[in-house]
Amino acid sequence: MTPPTSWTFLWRLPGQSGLVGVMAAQEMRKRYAGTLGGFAWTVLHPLMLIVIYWLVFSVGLRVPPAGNVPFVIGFLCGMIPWLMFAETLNACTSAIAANAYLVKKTVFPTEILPVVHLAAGMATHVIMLAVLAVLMVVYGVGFSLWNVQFLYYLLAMSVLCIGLGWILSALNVFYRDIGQVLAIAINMWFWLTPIVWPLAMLPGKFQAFVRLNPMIYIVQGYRDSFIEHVPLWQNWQGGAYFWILAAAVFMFGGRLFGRLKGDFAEAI
Amino acid sequence: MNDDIAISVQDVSKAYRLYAAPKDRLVEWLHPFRRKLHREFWALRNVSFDVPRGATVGIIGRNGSGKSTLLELLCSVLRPTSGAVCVKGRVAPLLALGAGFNPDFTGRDNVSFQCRVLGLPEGEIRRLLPQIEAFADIGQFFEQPIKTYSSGMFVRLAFAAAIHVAPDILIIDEVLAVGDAGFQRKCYQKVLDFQAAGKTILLVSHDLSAIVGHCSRAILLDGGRVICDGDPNDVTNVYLEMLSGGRAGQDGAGVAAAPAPIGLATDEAFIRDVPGEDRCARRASYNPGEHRYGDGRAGIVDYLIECGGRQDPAVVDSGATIVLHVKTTYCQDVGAPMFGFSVKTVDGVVLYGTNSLLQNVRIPPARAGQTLVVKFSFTLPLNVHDVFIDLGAADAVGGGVGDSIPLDRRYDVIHLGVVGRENCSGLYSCGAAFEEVARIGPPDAAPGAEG
Repeated sequence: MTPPTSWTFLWRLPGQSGLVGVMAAQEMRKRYAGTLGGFAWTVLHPLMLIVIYWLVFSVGLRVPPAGNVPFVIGFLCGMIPWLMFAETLNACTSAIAANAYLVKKTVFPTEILPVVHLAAGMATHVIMLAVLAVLMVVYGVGFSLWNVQFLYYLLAMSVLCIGLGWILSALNVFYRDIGQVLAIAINMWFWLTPIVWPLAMLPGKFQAFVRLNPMIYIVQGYRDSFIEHVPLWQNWQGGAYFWILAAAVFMFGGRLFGRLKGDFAEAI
Repeated sequence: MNDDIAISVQDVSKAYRLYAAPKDRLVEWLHPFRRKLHREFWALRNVSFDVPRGATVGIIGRNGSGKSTLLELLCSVLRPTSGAVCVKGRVAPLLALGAGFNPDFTGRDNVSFQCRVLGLPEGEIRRLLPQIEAFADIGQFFEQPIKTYSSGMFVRLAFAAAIHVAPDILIIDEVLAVGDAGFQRKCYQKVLDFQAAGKTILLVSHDLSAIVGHCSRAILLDGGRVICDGDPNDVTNVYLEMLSGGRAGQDGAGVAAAPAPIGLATDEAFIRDVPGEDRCARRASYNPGEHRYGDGRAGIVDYLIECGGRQDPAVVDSGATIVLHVKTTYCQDVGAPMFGFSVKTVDGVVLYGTNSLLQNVRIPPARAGQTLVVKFSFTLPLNVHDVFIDLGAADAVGGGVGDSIPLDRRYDVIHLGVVGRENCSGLYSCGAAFEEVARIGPPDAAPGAEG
């Protein structure tokens, strides 16, 4: 029997949508079970993070805004997809170990766990976008039909996220070091991505190097959608690079996950 | 594979890889010459059997015999190292009841989650939920978080969920012995319904009466191999003999061998022989987990059980006459020798106990160097599968049972299997007879007369 691949997992997903929904809802409730704040923490936590970054970089260090919009708008456009990306990868890494009882005692489709965490992150994402919308109104940044483009960038990021999620979650079953490494890697990745600093700030010779980072495509994409109103086909080189990379990660991740899946029950 | 075969296990072996350190797994992966850095533990070796559709098969074996691994392979939670497992029809892979339950969520949430894990469509889940709620019968606790449940409620809910979503093949692992009697009955009724519906059932249990009562066939595993496969009565007898005698080692050899001869064929020979050392441990029914104490002035050095023409059996028939010889050697003079024995269940309930004083037998003083052989005859008309027997030698200094000094007491020194012939409940097998004697009142309705 050949081990399943990304396509097998993708093919089965529609049939598992009910399970994904329930698990995502559980995931959100689990996170704040026993707290007074409950769901409010889901929003308060990233909100405070944003306020801190904004105070430090805009008010304190006086980082210049990227275009003709206030710093906080540009920053939010980068931070919103980034938070989702980082949260999902973090959650995926420990996902299989956290559901050990399901893996060991039942036949459980572990491959849906990255999708579950992605779905669980959507709630926060929507609320953060609402915060962005409010700030756009406050600062007088106009809305436009181009805003809807963010959905495409969200989808693109999801594909990369699921691929990486498969790799990280599968390897973490055997090596718990992955979680430790990821914490550091995510931190470095954050600073390598133009979220708190504008890409234009960087000298030209570093630009090419930094552009290897696929998250630039996403972060710039959100800014293009909400601030610049640039159509996504204008940056087709960036898109091509991103999709080749994301597809490779997605295919490799699925293959690796399929190969290792059979040993999960033993290794946990 | 034949259509009538629900489960086919062909020459399946399963090895667990044990790594000394986590890094070894990585090193082994990357090693250019494929060096082996793990030890292998074989949980199953060359196991083969087929289960026809509609059969109810019991799987028994000691702890660590490979039962759970086998079930995990059948549920495809694990992959076999070699061989092939083929399962036709949907299995409800519930290896431990309520394994997937989250204590923070309500019973309803957990049950519907479990249904979804099993891949049931939404409509089916909506239809099943009220049935599960009714079967579990835990009242308003169904809407409470599981962490507030008593262990009984937990099991009721878990079993209710398992049995209602259970599809073509039901695997029951050590679960029916829980809950109160009423609920157990309900569970067994459900199992019977399953059988009637022609579904395949695998029952793993330490409750041998459940195996004998419900299964058409039993498989005995030991040391990862199939020791015995056939009629549940025969297989459970082999298992009991194995448990009490410990004859089948991890290699699984010698189960069917006759009681090991220790050079004494007859009563007379046993009585005459004066061993220099303790021979109890060489008996088939000896229990190494015995608890022994006494002041050491005398020692119980050997015993012999005879039953149904067999010497030194590990299993006896319920109700058959048992002759128990006990041999005691005295190191010092003892004024009022006294002997006793008692029979206990696995839970330590004393079923019977007596001694020479209670039997009104006064034994003359024993001198140092003498060996006394005493004999008890009794029957064990019991409905339990295992009994433990204590032997004791004492000095009845005060002339009463209460003020005797123990010389040598060997608690649980004998572990006997008991095979019942009567279908009944309880500990005691009293062989009740039943018949309808009379029917008074209006006559019976003729068949088919109503409606």
